[in-house]
Amino acid sequence: MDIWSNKSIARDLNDYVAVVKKYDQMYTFDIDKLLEVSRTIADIDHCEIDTIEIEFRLLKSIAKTVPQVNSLKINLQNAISTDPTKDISTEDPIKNYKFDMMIVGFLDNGSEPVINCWHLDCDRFYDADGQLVEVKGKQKYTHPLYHFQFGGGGMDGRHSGDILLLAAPRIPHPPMDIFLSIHFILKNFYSAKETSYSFLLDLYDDEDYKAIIHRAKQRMWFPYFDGLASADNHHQDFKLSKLFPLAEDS
Amino acid sequence: MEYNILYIEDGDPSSIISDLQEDEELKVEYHDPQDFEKSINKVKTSGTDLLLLDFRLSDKKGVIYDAPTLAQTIRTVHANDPIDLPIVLISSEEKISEFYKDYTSLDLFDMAISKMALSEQSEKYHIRIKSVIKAYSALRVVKGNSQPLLPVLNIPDLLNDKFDLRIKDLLDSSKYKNNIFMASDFILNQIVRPSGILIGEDILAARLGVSLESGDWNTLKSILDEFKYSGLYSDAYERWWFIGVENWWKSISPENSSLKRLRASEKVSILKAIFELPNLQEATKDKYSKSDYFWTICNKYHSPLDPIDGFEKNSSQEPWQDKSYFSIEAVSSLESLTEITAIDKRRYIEYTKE
Repeated sequence: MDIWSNKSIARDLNDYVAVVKKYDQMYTFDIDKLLEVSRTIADIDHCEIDTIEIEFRLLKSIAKTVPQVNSLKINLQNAISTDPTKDISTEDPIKNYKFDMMIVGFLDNGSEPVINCWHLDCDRFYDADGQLVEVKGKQKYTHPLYHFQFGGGGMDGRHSGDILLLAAPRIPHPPMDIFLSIHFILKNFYSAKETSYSFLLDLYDDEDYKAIIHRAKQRMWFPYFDGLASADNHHQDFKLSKLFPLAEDS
Repeated sequence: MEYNILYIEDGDPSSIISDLQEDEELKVEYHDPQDFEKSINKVKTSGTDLLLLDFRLSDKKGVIYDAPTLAQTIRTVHANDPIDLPIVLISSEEKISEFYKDYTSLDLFDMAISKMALSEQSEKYHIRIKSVIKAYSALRVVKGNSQPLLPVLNIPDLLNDKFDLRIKDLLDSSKYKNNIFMASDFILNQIVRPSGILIGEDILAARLGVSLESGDWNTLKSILDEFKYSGLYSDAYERWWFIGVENWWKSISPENSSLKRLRASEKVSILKAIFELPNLQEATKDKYSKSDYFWTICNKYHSPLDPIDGFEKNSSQEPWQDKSYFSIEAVSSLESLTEITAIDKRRYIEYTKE
């Protein structure tokens, strides 16, 4: 079955919940929503997944935050859909993409919560008819096709204290679907050294978990890495000048 | 409309009868439980709409059975010719819900009421009693015509595609299609009452960041009427389709389309600006809470709560149901910490050490 079909993604969503629950016996992660998604996404041969919103609670302080917060929640929004007419050997099939992370930190002293937002953007623009607009000529700033960017809508109008908030830099990063997005959050925010989260080591080691993550990488990352690795490939989207323009800039 | 209740009680039935008959539509017939077989026959022949059983029938001299025995016989012996009758347990024990739990696994009763609660909140229980009778009569029609069960939920067309397929499958199974008690119990206790697909008023207000005391709360509620649940048991439980509310929010506030990402004050400002509701007030957090990104309510005090400040209730739920949380104040008044999950129990103990 095609790895980009909703059908195979629905099956992975279902299996993913089962494998996480096998190890997360304390129900640390509220991922039941993925079951709902797996049962309600359209039964089609390409990928069409509306925004999935998952919230992670971190009830311990993590190292090196300023100010020191004693609990965090991470709200993740991820959406992805593909264009079935694209030839995935030479084109990026992703049509709509969203990875948006809003982190809210809570302090002990009754101060207002503090916010941090990151989003992973796809720098592809469409006109009103949905036609791709090709950006011609040199761009003012470096715009890798997929890039991580600090900030975003959630931070508008917040008091920033003494901190300067900038839209730059845009850091190249391959896109992540829901499996890779959750994996990203677990790996970055949950220390498997903590007793409460030590089950994560067993989870990462589980063959079913590895297989689901591997399929996600196959969809989302391998063509991207191929594009980074070879300078003279024939992929229209995944080529160095689009993925990592800095590498080509003179 | 008249609703007939057959009330089997070993003690003096008069105060319960008068509590029930405060509602003119409820007609109560009393039966003395002296003889088991006579009681069964009475249930079979009375043509009643609902059976009300006192828990302890055996306090009376000569009676050697209690309500579960009688209910069990009615539910099982007549499996081929079932008596599809709602059975409500009533008891003078105040903690009825605790020992009622022991009997829910036996699949016997539709509801349990303590005598004190009935007398103190008679109107609420009159509505619930009538609601279960109406649910049974609707389900009798569905079963009699071999119709599918799903339409009794009156799911709005808009939400049909997003409806959990597992519920659809379950309602389609013969277990529920052929057994009115099971179908009614599933719809009431797994769909209507728990927060999840449907939410009640407290959680609706919490998720919109609005205080229930607000002058304009009822106006806002009426704006949400199209997402109100109108299926089975909606006469006794006021509920909204959450996915409908969520989509509505996205449509009125496309810039800030996630209800989860907004604080109570931010949501109230948006609502005030769009609907001109000057008397809408934001919900406020209790003094021990850090967050006002409210998403749920305290399981005990029903105050708005962000799960980050909550302690998760130790209970299992279906995938379409939300987890329940206690506020720290509620945890401190729990009889036992086993009522919260092990991980939050450790958190609570650490917190109280500080």
